[in-house]
Amino acid sequence: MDVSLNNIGKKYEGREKFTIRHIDLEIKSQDFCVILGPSGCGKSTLLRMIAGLNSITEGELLFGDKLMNKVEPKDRNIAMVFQSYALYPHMTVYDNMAFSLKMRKASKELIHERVMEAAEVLQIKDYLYNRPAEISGGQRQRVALGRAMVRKPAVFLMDEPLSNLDAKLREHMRVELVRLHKRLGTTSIYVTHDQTEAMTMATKIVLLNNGVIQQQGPPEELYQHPANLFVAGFIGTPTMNTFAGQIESGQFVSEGGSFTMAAPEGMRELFAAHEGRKITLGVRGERFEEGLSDLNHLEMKVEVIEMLGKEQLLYCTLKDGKQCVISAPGYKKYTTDEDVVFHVKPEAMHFFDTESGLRLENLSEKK
Amino acid sequence: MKIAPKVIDQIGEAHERKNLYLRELAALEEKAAAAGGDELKALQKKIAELRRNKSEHPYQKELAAYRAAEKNFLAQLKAEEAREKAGQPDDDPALAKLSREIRQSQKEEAFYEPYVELTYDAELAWRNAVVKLRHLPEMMENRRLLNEHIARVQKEKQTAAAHGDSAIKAQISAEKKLIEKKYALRNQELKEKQKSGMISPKAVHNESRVLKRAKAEEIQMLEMKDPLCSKTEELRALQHRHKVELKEERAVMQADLSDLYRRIPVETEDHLPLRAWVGSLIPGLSQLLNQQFVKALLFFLSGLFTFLVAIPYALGFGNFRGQGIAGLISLAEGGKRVDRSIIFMIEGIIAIILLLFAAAAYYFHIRDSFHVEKQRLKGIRPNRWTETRQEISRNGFPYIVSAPALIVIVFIVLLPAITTILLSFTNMDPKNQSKFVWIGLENYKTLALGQGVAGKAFWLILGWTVIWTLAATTLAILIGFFLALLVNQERIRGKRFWRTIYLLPWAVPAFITIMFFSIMLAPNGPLTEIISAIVGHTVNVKSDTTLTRIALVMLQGWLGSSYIFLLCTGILQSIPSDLYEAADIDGARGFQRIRHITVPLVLFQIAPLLVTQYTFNFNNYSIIALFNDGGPFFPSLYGNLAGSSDILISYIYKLTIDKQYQALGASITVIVSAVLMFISYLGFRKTKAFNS
Repeated sequence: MDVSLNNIGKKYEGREKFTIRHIDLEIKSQDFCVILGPSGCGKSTLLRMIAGLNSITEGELLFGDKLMNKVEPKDRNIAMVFQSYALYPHMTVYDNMAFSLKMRKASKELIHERVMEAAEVLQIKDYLYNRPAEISGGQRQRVALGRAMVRKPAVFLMDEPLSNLDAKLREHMRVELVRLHKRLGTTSIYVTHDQTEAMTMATKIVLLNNGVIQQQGPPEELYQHPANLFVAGFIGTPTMNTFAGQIESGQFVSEGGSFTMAAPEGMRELFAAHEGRKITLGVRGERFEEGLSDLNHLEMKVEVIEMLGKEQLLYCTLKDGKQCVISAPGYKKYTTDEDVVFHVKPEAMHFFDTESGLRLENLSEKK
Repeated sequence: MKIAPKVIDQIGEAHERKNLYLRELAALEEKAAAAGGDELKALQKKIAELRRNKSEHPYQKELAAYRAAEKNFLAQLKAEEAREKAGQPDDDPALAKLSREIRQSQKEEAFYEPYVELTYDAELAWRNAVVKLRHLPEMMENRRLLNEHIARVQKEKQTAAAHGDSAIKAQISAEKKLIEKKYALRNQELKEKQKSGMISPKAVHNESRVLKRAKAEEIQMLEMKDPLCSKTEELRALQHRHKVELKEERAVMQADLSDLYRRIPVETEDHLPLRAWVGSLIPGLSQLLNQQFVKALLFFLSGLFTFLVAIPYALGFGNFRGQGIAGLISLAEGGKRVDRSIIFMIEGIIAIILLLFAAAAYYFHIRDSFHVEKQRLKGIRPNRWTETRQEISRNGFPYIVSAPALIVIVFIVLLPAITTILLSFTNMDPKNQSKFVWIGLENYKTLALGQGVAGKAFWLILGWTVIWTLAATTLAILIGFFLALLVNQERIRGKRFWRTIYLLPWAVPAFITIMFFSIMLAPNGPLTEIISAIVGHTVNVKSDTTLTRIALVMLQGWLGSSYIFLLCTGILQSIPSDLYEAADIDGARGFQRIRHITVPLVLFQIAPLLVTQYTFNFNNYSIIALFNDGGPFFPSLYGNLAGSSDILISYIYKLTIDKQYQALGASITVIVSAVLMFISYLGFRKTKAFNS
């Protein structure tokens, strides 16, 4: 089912300001939409509004073509997976999963069939009759998912469901969840603060900060074309390197003048239009290439090396003392205090307006 | 009040006026506000003219035509509905209703569409119809499918019942046996494993519980193989859906319609909240004018309460003996012999409480009607019952649930409390039992100056009460804390045994302990004899003030220590041991550890509870009364009413119950309550339980 949010806003009682406002969002049927953002950005509030657990102060929430603003959670045909799982501790796994259908007085056969189907998919058949306390965290997580699946809801809501698992299990469950979504095809809305989860699972990411949507789109778009400095810094590890500077005679000149970068092919006009403006250059760690080239090279000194195996992170210092992280293949040899030279291809460079943080291309669109 | 150029809906968005007459008027008024001199006069004239020729205004004519057409249309619709209702007997009345509603909505849509730009009322009706047409056909289709489904299953069930297949039954019972055998075997396995020591009894317990449940589930599913059983079950589920599904769908539709209602403003020609002014006379009237029928009924009921119960009662009608509020002032002065002042006082208080309830209801009525009316003038439609009910169930639910309890509490807590306070301003004493009068602060003056038979002992008793409270409670805390520390030492053996011992004073009823010591310390009691023998001369504890007081403090210290012991033990055990380990490494030893870590941590947590201990002992009537009944007695100092070990609470008891100085007792009660409330507030204001 399509889910659309038109100009949604939420103000908690007793607060002066809106926690989150002017949210416009279209989630297509069968999408796996991840709402991403740092803690306190309003992402859980947004999810709870969609679920009907929080009231909506302004705007419209539509499921399909039906207005859902004031509909009770039980009438919305949704299922939710909570961060703490919220399994009923006094019921067996089976009863936990059957609960929602029992409340709807579904026939026993149907309940059994659905529970067994979910148990099969999630591989929890062996402890259907155990209590939640008797099974491990990962298994509990599956039960919580199963409980949501059994209802065959129109929309699946998940509130940081993986954050209570250890790193290894989380990786595993990530893949499982994607597989599950592929199989069921239910529209899913997933809230997390972990950008890796968002990047790996989403068909669409909505990045929130301070109650405002910073950018929305497929993961690769957010990674390759961050709309502003916040998105650039939030998505991707290691964090994108940023260098403050300004445009001087059609070139990017870094603050202090330690290096200059020529304007990329398609951006000459843009540079000319913004002559003298303070802008920030962003380059991802893995887009630095070793060695000299005709232009756009940087000289630096390696300070710390973090060896990760397949790659290594070089924490370098530029001549003017600026820091910079470079991701290099793991097989290459570097030593600390070594002087190195890297260059950057024009297409790997992102330019942002320093004052507003907006991408340079978007800035001119707005004007 | 001027006419605003724009109307505002409930969400706060401004809309252009559709009423051209009002729009024109608003524009002129706006101009007039800015203009001056001759221009103003010309404009005012224009406005007056416009108002006078209101019915001649082209828009008004159009509107009147629309109203007439609508009236005609609605009458027609109603007639048709009645005809249809009578005409077609359908198997499913819900389905018939749905199709009727669809037809109606279609007609409404067609009728209202041309008027959408004319007035917001028409727009609302039109968009209502559109929304209904979006929802209703789908609902009808769902309902039809569900009905078909049910019919099909019913048929299948009938055929299954007719056949009564015995072969299947035999097969099922055979399979059932197999299943039972399978689980019996597994249980057997478990038992054997336990016997050979492979798994613990707890594991067996858990596993067999799991097996039992799995077996039940499997057998249930097996029984479903019987078509009759299966179809019955399916039918039950379907019938439940038949019952609730449409309701749920209607709730969704209603949410949609309510939203329209909030978004489409209303226009009115009124300038002032006239309906509210008119309605303020009779609760419910203004709500009725706004067509909020249920709300009107509720307020009307509150009005009935005001005019038929509260006010007559306050005037003295329907009282048991008293005269309502007048009785509270006269206190039956000069009345008949059977008229008792205390009854008059209580009925007066009840009358005041009822009046307060009535005033509250009236306040809400006024507030609601003016609020709604002001909103309506702005353009916001008055809530219908559906919206009001939704709002109440969302925001007002806690108040509604607690309202009956609140009313009961008012009568069982507030009524006695107010009676006590009022009593302290009268002269109810042995001479004035049936009839007493107001004497103002006379009682408090008597107490403050220590005058009279009853007031003589007040200050002495107050002094001892304070000493008693501080000494007895502090002693109990010290004993309890010390014992808890002792028993929690790592090196103590038999912790459970010692804990039981130290809890005994709490486990044995205090009544028995006190009586035991009271008898032992009586003039010829065994303990008295022993002490006398040791000291060498007769020591009579109960006739010596100081000794009685010491004995009381020690006894209460012992009795009260158990509770503190229990509290401290719990907290001591919850102090993480790594804190002590860290202290060891930092160089704190033995006593230092207790002083710098244990005492602050424990005290911090039990401090609020200690306040209750102090207030408890302040009012510890039983130990004083049981041990020596307030004695020994010194009439020269204390008068005939109290003894030297009496505390305020036992003094109050003697004053009111034994000697019938109720008014004086009441004034002491008021003083004691005020002091205790203040102390408790000091103690509790920082705790969580009080703040949240």
